Amino acid sequence: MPGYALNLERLRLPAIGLLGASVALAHLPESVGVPCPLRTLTGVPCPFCGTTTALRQLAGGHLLASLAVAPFGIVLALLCLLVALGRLPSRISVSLWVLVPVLGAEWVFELVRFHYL
Amino acid sequence: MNCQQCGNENGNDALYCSRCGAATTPTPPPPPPTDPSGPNAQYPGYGDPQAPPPSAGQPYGAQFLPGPYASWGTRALGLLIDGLLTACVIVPIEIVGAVLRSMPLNYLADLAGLVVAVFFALQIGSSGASPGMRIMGLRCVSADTGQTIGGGMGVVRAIACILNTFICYIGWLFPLWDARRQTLADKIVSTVVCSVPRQAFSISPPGG
Repeated sequence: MPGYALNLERLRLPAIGLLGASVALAHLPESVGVPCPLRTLTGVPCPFCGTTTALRQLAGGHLLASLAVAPFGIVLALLCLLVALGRLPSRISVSLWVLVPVLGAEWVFELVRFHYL
Repeated sequence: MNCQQCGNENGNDALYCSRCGAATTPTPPPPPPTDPSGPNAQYPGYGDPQAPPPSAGQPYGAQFLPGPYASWGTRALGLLIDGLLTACVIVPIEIVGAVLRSMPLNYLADLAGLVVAVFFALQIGSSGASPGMRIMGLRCVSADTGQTIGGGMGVVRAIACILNTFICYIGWLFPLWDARRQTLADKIVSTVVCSVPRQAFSISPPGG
């Protein structure tokens, strides 16, 4: 199975922005998130639902609460940290054997969390 | 064949390296012959085998593309302009509908929005650019041939753009990290969006 080529050199600022936004969200008194159009229209969550909340919980030091919402959040946060610190090569290829199961598992997790499975 | 940049082994027909995204084709296939009176006639040099090759160091791999891959910001601005143009059509109808408390006018506003979206999709397919993309110097072409994809595929691409939105808008962010700067919809219909010189969009006067 081919890999998915990523160019990470353009992601440094977005990664720093995402980490900064997570910390900022953790200090807001009320939960703020981007409403998922799929969930708003149909009720069914998409694979990325809960990521904002997971990052906010993680930035607030609530690891278990973050994992309970979206386990992908901590993976994303770690990747953002590595990209922000420049610890990853500028171009990488992620095997679809890894990418598809990870995103699939995340979607199954969200479907279970919203009682669709 | 092996990638010239990272040495990764790729299939013989691979245009890009599966590991690093660099072009793997030392001699890209020539574009299909273009009808001089076709929809691309107004783009000087576009689809013309005799056109000068792109200058060295351009950050795109396939030399048959009309320009380097467009940045996410440029594409976002093009989309924003299209959105504003659509709002110029919808909002007046909605205001009149709200003043008159007319439900049919509200439906008409929705219909007008749909018509404008389809019109933009047809334009992207047939000429490569919606008005917003044209202003930002963007061009949507097939990733395989470098040619416009046709009005029908333009509509299919617009429908695929719904998927960009339906996964928490992540599909729209793909160009930030994608090696070919494609959105999810671009990947589905195999298109790329390139930045082209502004003069490529100007229509030459007859005989000029």
